[in-house]
Amino acid sequence: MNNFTNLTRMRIQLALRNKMFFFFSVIFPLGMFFIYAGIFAKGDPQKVSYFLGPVIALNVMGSFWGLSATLVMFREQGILRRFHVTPVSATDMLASSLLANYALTLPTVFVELACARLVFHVPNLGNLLSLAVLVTVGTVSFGSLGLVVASVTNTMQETQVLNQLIWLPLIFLSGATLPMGYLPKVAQGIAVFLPATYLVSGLQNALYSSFSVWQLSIQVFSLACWAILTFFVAAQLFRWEPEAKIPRNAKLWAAATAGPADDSSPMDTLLLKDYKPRSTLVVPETAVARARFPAIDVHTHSMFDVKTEADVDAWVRTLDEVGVETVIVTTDATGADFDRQVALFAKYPKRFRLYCSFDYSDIEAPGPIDQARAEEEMGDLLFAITNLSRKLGIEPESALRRANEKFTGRFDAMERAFLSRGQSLPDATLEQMEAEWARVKADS
Amino acid sequence: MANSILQVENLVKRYGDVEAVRGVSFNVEEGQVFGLLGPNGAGKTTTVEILEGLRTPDGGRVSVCGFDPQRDSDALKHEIGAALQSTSLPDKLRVMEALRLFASFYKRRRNPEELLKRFGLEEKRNAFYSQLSGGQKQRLALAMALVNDPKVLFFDEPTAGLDPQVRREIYDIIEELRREKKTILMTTHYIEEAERLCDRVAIVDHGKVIALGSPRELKAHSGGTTRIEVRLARPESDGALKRLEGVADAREVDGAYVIHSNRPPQTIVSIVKHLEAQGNELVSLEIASPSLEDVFIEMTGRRLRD
Repeated sequence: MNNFTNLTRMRIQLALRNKMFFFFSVIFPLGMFFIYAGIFAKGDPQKVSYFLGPVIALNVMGSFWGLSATLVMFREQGILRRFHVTPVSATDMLASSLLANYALTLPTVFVELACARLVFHVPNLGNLLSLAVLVTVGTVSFGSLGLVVASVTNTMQETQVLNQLIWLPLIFLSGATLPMGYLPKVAQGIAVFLPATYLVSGLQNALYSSFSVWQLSIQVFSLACWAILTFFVAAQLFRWEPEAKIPRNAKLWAAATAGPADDSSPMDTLLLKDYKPRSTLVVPETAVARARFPAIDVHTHSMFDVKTEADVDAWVRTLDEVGVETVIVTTDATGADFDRQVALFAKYPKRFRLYCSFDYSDIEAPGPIDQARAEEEMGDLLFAITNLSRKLGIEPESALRRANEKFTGRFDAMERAFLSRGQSLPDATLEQMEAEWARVKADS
Repeated sequence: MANSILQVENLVKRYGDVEAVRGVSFNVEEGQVFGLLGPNGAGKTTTVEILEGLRTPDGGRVSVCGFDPQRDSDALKHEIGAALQSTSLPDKLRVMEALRLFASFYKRRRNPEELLKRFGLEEKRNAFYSQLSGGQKQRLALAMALVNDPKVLFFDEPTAGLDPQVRREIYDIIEELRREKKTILMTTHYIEEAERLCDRVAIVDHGKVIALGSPRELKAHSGGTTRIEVRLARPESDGALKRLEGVADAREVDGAYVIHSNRPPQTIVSIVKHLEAQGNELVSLEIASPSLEDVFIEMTGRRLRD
């Protein structure tokens, strides 16, 4: 209990020293109040009283924003880690966050109520007990939501994105900004499940219609259940260390409020020894005994098992059986060889289409290089390199000289290395020279 | 060793498939400064965090002040003080507030005023944490580790990232605590730090203790020899160097040759003669009395420094 109160005091002190806190928790809500009361209600006391519920609801709902950001910052900076080695418990840490937030939210609510009464002359502020109960339960609920957000996100950016995603439906679907009746039917259906809806309608009924706590029991009960659930989830998910991952069993709880995206693929953790790939070329076999429509076999080779006219006849019988009308035969033959193949299949000109192959017979034969043409090509290449040097501002001749020097230097070094081992360069094998060359090159 | 204040037996910790700690064992006696010395990633921080109850071990037995850090975490935390790596405090928390707040968490407390004076932070008592220099932050971290007058102190890399001047200030503080017979378990990757501050040192590499003893014992273990480190123009075989006069051991480490000698003057003369005969040249030569670094090189064939 002692830790809890001391931590609460620290959190309040820190918030009061923070300029951002003043903007988001004081200036911003009061600005909203004056926009609603001055512009929407045009200062009419009756209308101001009607809008007061949504304004206070927005103020209360905003709790989750600051709480999530602070807790994530504490974790990212290793502040929570420092508390972790002390006797401070996770519950101390979370509960003090909630109480500090409550204590910091109340003054703004008081100022809003005071302005409504004194500036806009709202005749009465409805049922004050109902108001106090709803503000309390609401602040705890939405504060706990912030604690859940802090636990399911790992970085400040993630936190802010998730906060935005939560904030939009809260303000647009809860009736806080648009009256429920204006919303499409689907949105109204969703709104029934939003705790924010209960907070807005509860506060409006307490302030405008002076409903008692008993008359607002559904709203109070719903919010209280939600507060307990979210606090429980936040305690399950709480992490002291920045690198700690969300406990596995707690991930299920996270789904109850907001599901974090898991973008890791199974390949990220797969070890090579466990990698058992299956060829995509191996497909399930489907046996078709006979084609329903006349079929064409677009690619087959015949050179090994079809040698005689009897073989061809046997093949044609098989083709008739399975319903193949035409076969494209790739013979891999040229010249006289190909002529023999054509003769073999001559009996069935409609059934077989024969393709001959390329004649590679002279591919290895030596031939004279066209020296004149080679010289021209080489000249073009040198010209292109020289021109590129000019464009880059490099003097080609000195560049070439440097390359020569580099080569001579390395060759010398290689020679010396062999000599120092009592070996002469001409005696060395090509492999030894290659190895030494690689070493010399790596050194220089 | 049943009454050692800190006992670690066959400790194992895995992160996924990586075994960060692979069967570490050691004991720390009351009043001792015990150092875990090793390169980054050797498993020192993980070991310390298990002892503090911040992490769950996957195997082995651990006892701190008679407590099991897992089962009796709450009771244990009242007995220990820690300056952890990569921690900080809220920017807008004042120095004195931090000391008072942390003292308030414990049953047994030391006077924050006295700690403030002792750690030279009196002038900074009302400064925000964000206004402190790196050295002041580290002094505050050490002061905060003492707020509960703990039985065991854990300092994880207490001088990492600090400049030499500030590092010496921290050494003075730890030496003073040593004189007061505080039990301290510290981790470091600085040899100088371990030699200067620790009564006993466990050299840790790849999650295992590879040597354990007082700095003097460990150095004596490496032969009490003088260390001669030479760089040569051309490679030379370790074997040839080992046969030279007075040489106890010679090995190549990162392109240099570390030679341990019983008779340094004779060894140096014979190195020079040998190189002359081989047509090789001496590029540099360094002579030093042996350090824990030599123990590490002997055990792993690598240098401790990155």
